[in-house]
Amino acid sequence: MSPRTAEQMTWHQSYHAVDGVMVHPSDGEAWKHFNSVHPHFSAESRNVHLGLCTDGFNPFESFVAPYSCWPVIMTVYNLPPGMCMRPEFMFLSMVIPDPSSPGRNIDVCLRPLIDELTQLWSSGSLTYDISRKHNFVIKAALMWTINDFPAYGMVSCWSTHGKLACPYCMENNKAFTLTNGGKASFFDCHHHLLPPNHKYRKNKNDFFIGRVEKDVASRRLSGEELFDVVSKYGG
Amino acid sequence: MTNLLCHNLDVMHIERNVFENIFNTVMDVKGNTKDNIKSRLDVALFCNCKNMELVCDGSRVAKPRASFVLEKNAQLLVYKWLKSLRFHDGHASNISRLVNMEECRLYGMKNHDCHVFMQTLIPLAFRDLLPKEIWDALTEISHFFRDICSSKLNVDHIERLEKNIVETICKLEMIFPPSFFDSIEHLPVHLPFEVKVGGPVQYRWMYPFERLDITGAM
Repeated sequence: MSPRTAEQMTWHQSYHAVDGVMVHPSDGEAWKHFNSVHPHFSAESRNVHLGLCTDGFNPFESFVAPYSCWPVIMTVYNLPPGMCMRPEFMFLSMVIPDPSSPGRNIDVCLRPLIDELTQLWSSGSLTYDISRKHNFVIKAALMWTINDFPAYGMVSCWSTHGKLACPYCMENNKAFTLTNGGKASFFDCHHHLLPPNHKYRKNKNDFFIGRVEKDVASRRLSGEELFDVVSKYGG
Repeated sequence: MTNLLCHNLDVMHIERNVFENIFNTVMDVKGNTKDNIKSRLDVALFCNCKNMELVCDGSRVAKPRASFVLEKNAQLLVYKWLKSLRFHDGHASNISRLVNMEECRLYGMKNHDCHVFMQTLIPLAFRDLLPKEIWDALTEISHFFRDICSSKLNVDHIERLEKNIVETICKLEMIFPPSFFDSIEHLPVHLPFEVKVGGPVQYRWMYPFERLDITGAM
């Protein structure tokens, strides 16, 4: 890393956001919440916020030779908007080669990367800062993963098919299987998100025939609550 | 709890899927339209929409044209307009190259072409060709994607988007048959929440990663 690039790694702290305007992930609630929960991590602005992306593609550019290559790419969010998400600052950490998609087994392939990330999170690694010319212990945190919808199912282990496809609504939706089409339909599954007393809630003719929506939007579960739900199933 | 947002819904793929569903259904693209015979049979079961149900006339079954499907002449007009379209340098790829006038189809639409079509061309292409309430709903969803993809966002504006998108999807439900609404069509209602928590979509979508794959930078 050049001295000028190294200097930019602290950009997210030196920059002052305008209230109510978002131009960078550091303006979002998730980032602010993370910093408030982990003050030790956020005290050192050179600590790295990472994003993880996986996506399958066919390196032979033809559908005749079926092959699915899964690059796993890490990206750094500390940098200013002009540098963030540039190809120079995306790091290919591993490639999962397979004739077919790894499916749920992607967990096994990602294990070495997760181990490394855990180590970087808990103990950190001794690094030389060329812009300030001294050594320090750098730590890293994974903010989120970025995937298309089928890969979202593989990484998060939430099945993104069928009636329970939506990872936010989960079991609280009214999706149904079409009798003739044979596929799951999310027709009339949004009315519980409307404000109470909205005229569409009582409309029996234009939507699902004869249905009056009385449900209200359910609260989004937090990570801990989700973990409690999953733990009940054991395994 | 540490992370408020663990996994991101990818705006790029959602936008593409929504666009393809809308375009194929409105332009009645054979094989890809969501408004097929099976869908009409389902309409009879789940909706109160008499003018879209199949009409049995003796041994023949007729599928009446739905209000959201363009007539053949209007379809030709749209394709002709697309064929003559020119963009500013760097704004989009040359979409006119993808038009096949004989088969009335678009071939080889890339993700970014769908992105440009969804955000800027949909309101223009179908103006005056579709009934006003259908055009309004399509324009609303087009503007929703344009606003949510903006690189500078106001928090108040996102909250407004979060309320409006539910109503927009409900308006689409009044127009299109149940088979139109697959799981992807449902996901836009959760996008404003993710934007509020995670920041602008440019940092959380897959365009840069897909470009990295294609250019063979790796």
